[in-house]
Amino acid sequence: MAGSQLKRLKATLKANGLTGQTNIKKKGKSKAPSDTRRDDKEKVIQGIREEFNPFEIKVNRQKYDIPNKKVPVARPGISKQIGEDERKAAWEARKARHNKVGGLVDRRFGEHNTDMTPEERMLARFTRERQNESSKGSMFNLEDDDTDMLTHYGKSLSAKDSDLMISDDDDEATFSQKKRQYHETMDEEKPVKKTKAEVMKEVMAKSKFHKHERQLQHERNEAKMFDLNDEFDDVMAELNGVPQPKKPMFSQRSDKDREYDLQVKQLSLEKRAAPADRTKTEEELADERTKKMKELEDARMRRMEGLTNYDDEGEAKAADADDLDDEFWAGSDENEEDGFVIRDSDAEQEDSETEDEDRPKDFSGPNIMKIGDRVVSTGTATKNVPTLCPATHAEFLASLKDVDFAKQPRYVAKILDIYRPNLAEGNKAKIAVFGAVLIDHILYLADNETSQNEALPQVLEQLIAQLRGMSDVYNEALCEAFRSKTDAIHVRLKESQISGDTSVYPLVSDLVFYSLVGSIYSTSDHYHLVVTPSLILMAEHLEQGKVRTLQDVFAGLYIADLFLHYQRLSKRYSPEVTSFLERALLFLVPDATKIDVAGLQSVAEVSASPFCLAKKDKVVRGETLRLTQLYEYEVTVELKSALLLKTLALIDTACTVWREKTAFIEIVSSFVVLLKHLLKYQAHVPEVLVLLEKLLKLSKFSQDTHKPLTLQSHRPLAIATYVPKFEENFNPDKKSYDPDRERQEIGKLKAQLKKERKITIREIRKDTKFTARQQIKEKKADNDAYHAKMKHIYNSVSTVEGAAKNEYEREKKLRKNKR
Amino acid sequence: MAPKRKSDARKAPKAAKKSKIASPAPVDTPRLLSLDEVDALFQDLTTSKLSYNNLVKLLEQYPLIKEELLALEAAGSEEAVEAVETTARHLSLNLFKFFQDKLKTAALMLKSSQKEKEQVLIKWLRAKYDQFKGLVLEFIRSDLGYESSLQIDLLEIYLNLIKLESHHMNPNASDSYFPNLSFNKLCEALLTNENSEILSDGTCNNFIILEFIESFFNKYWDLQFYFMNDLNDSIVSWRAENEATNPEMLQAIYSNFLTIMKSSTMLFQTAKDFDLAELETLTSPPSAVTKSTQYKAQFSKTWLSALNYPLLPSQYKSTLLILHKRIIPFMTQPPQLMDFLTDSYNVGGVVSILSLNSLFELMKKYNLEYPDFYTKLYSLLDQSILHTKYKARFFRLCDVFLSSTHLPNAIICSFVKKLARLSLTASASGVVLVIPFVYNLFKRHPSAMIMVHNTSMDEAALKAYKDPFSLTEADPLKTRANESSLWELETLMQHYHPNIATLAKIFGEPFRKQSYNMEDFLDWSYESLLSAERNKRYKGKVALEFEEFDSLLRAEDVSEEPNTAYLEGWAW
Repeated sequence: MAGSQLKRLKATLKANGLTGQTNIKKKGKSKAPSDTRRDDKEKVIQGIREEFNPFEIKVNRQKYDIPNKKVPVARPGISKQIGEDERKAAWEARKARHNKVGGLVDRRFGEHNTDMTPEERMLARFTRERQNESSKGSMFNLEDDDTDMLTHYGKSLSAKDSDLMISDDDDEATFSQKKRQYHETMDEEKPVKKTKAEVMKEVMAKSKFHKHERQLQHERNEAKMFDLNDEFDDVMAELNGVPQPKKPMFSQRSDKDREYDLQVKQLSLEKRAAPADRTKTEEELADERTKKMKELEDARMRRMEGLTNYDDEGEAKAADADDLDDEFWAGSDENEEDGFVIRDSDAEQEDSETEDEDRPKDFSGPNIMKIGDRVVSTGTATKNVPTLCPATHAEFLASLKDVDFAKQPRYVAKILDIYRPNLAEGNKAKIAVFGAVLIDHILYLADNETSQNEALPQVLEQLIAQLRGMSDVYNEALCEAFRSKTDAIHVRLKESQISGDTSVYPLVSDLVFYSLVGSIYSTSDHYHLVVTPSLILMAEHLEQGKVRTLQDVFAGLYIADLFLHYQRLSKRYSPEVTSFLERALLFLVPDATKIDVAGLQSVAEVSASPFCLAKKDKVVRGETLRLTQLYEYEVTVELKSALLLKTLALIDTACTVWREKTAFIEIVSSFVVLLKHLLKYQAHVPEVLVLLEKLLKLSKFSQDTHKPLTLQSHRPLAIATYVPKFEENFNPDKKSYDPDRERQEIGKLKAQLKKERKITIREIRKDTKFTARQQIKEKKADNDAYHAKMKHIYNSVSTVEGAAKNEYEREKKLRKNKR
Repeated sequence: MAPKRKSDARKAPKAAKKSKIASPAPVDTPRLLSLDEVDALFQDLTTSKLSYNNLVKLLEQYPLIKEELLALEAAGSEEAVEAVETTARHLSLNLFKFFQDKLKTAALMLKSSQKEKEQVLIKWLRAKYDQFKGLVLEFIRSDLGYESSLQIDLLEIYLNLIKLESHHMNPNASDSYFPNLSFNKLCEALLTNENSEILSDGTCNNFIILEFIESFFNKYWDLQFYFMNDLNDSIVSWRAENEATNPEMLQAIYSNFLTIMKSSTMLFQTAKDFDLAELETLTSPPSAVTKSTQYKAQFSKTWLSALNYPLLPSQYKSTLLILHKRIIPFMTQPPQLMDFLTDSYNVGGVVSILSLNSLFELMKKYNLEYPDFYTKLYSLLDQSILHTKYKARFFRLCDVFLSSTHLPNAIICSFVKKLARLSLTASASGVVLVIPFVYNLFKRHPSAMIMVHNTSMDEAALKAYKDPFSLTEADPLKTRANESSLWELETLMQHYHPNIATLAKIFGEPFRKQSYNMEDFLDWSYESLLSAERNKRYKGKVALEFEEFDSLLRAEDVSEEPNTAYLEGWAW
């Protein structure tokens, strides 16, 4: 179609019958109802409009022609216009409100600052106020005063302002009134400038006046005093003259009354009746105890199985620790001089003897104390009553210098008592350090005291009991102390392995250390922070320590015994113990070279040991194995027999502990060989035969469990398969085929959120653009108006000027002409 | 030529004593000269040819100095020792300078053009020079009782003389020359050094040798070459002389030899010859030193002779330790070591384990056949294997030997069963090693799994079942281990160490892991276990023993008391 847009429009309108003659009747056409026709007309016009305005409509381009698919049509121009209108309306509304409706600005300090305490907040406000006061910009700037002033209920908080506004209590005075009042007062006080001479004169006059006043006052007072003194006797006479009511010589009330009064008084003082805690019966106590034990045992079982998580346990135990804490210190109240319940006959005796002398309430000043059956003045012997809590072992040793050896536990108890955590802050930390010192001290005593010291065992036992008592409350500190000790021992062990020097390791204290760990900590745990390292150390000792002397055997046997004792509940197996017991027995039996090596498990070559029990030696009983004597033993038949018997006893224990093991037969096989050999030489020792029989019997029983293993009898594992999944009736429009309903929902929501977000961002952008546009428009309008105004003013001025000039010219001309 | 010169050198002092040339001090009783006197003698010596006889006096000093030093050291006066040493050092240095001068001016070389008188003088000087060298070597060899820096200085002087000789004593001026003889004498002096003390690993701590290795031997290839080249005869002759009478001396010699060989850097890893320019040399040696074949031949010969020495066990061990890496690759005919290795393998114990490495090397590279190898290997699994420090080495090899899938099931089962049995008394490190080892074997030989999972028996068979495994059977094919079960490993599931117990539990779980990397498990020790513990931190409360004890220890004889004790049968 050719022609301009207008021509085309005309042609189209005509073709649709909208212009030109409208009443041409077409033949053969039925009349349509006028209503429909009018609607048709509208539609047709709409169509024509769209046709001639191609940019009004936007249709998404389709890649593929899909039949029966509705193509969405958008009218960007129209929707844009709608948006613009809406924005405009909003803008107008906003503008109308602008500068007319206001909010409240909270200028108080720290109102929303959560870090400030109320005190800090008040202080900050006050300082700020003072600062404002001092740095007032101008003397006459009255208006500014209230801008930064702090107010409360409209009243100023500053002292100065408050007296200016005394009359405002009734809240009726409006702000303007207040202001006026203020101005008035200011006017009244407005100083008239005086000269310096005047000021000085005024000051002098004032001081003279005051001085005179004071003198007058003084005179008046003196005169009054004189008068009073003069009149005093008179007044007293008057007073004495008044007859007083006579008191009865004896109480006239009857006994009954008095009794009654007394009872009333007593009753009023008496406590109100309250239900008392019922004393628990024996059975209940026992029941509680068993319950508690059961709980502890259950926890232990869980730990043994390795089921408890370390962290949970910490929490669970924390509560435990608290109630144990109470008991611990409650005990100390009952048993004040010890702080611990030491079930030792001697200690108890002493307890009863020394009721409260040791209570360190009054260690200031010397007084006489009775300790035991001696009378001791605290000024001398017990001068250094524990006033300080030793932080190192050296300090502790120094303070122990004057303490009787046997009294050391009591001294320790005293320290613990004085530094009870509930007595002063920081005590808990001090005692925690002291715990490590106590460990050091126990080990020190074990090493350095002579075994002849008869008090030693008892002192050690008591100290250990005290340490045990501390282990609960000072759990972490002691744990760390033990762990660092373990490291130190390991270092020494290594050293002695390299140098072969037994004076470095094993010391008696090392043996004591292992026993301490065992007696304080739960050794049956699957993993334990203190026990496991010490187990490793003990195993290392058993494995790598050479068996060369009886001392070696002694130390090894002790450790093996401890090791087995550690495992008495968990019954874990230790190859090192088996190996050591075998070597120890081999070391002690006579004629070791005759034993067939093939029957042994850990020894490849047998050499005759120089310390074995000779063939003719009879086993002698009665020798006690004393730990502190470890390095003082001579090589005697007694010691040898004691060690041999101990070895046999340990093998017995080991069998008891490990009897359930499936490899029991294998474990004891070499013991059987050795015992059979021993039986040839020491048949008269009943233990040998008894043990051998026991081993054989247990082996026989163990045969029942010695059946082929079926360790792999678990359910066969399924092999993971990956089959591709096909969708029947796949629809590309369907967004997701996720079988997980919930995930699908979430996905939908996410998509929606994303969409909404995009829309919102777009809207916000449009808004800001619109605002910017509008602002520019307004500014332009403002400028235009201004320029127009200025132009108008200029014009008018120039008109007036021109007129005036004309008039001037005229006048001038006129005067000229006049002249 | 050489022996003649040697005898000359020995005769020389006597001749010198008899010489009638006048000297400032009486000749008859030589005495220790002071520093000034030595200086004066040298002054004369350098200025005029007439005072050459001073050389005699000066050379006489050495035995005197040595005696004096020994006496003073025994007396323990350090300052006096220092003074004497200073004199000796001065003396040696000046003599060295004198002969250096002579060597550089070719004043010691006989030439046909010289007159008869001159020739006599040269011969005399030559004799003195040889005597000087002999004295120096004697000094180096001897034990002064302390680590004398004088000896080190003399060593340096001697090597400098060798360097000078190489340049100036060349019989044919056109060829490059190495003074074999002088160097060989030095080597002999070093090996027979009296300062040596045999260390626990079979080497020695001789400071002279260590100095020699560090400053010269490792640096200069020509020294290494000629060390090997000429030593064989001495080694053989020493052995012939001393084998019956003085084996300690041979052991000392061997320890010196081992020390030198152990720390030297080696060339000729391949058969290729070297370019002389690439090598750092002390002297300017002939091109023979670059020949790989000659070196290797001499190397083999020397080592084979050295290995014939009566060795200490520690020497045996350390030799075997370096054999497969440092010796076999340099030999022309490594199978020559076969006898030595087979013997060592049959010794048993640690020596067998160590020889296994070299033996394997020979089997791998030189196709060595070893009858009943697995029987022998099985016999190595004795009670001590899990306790030695060489167990990592053994298991590395064992892993290789047992990796063949063609091995009979019975052999694998025997090894597994034996290892399991040994682990019942093994250290923690041993157990840690055995568990993954067995696991890997099971993975490789699934038929051996019958030892942990055997369902083939019916009720009656189960009832009558008795462990048929024979521990004493030497032949791994006949132990009937495959009918047995690994109760030992089941027991180890309750090992006291939590990690090992957990590790052992893999035998009760599906075998899903492909295999364990053995290297992660070979080098565990109690120390590493403990250091792993050290990193654990305190979290939450540590569990306490809740049982109450009245005392820690109690001897049995008071057991009638109702009190309880933690540990009974012991007293404080």
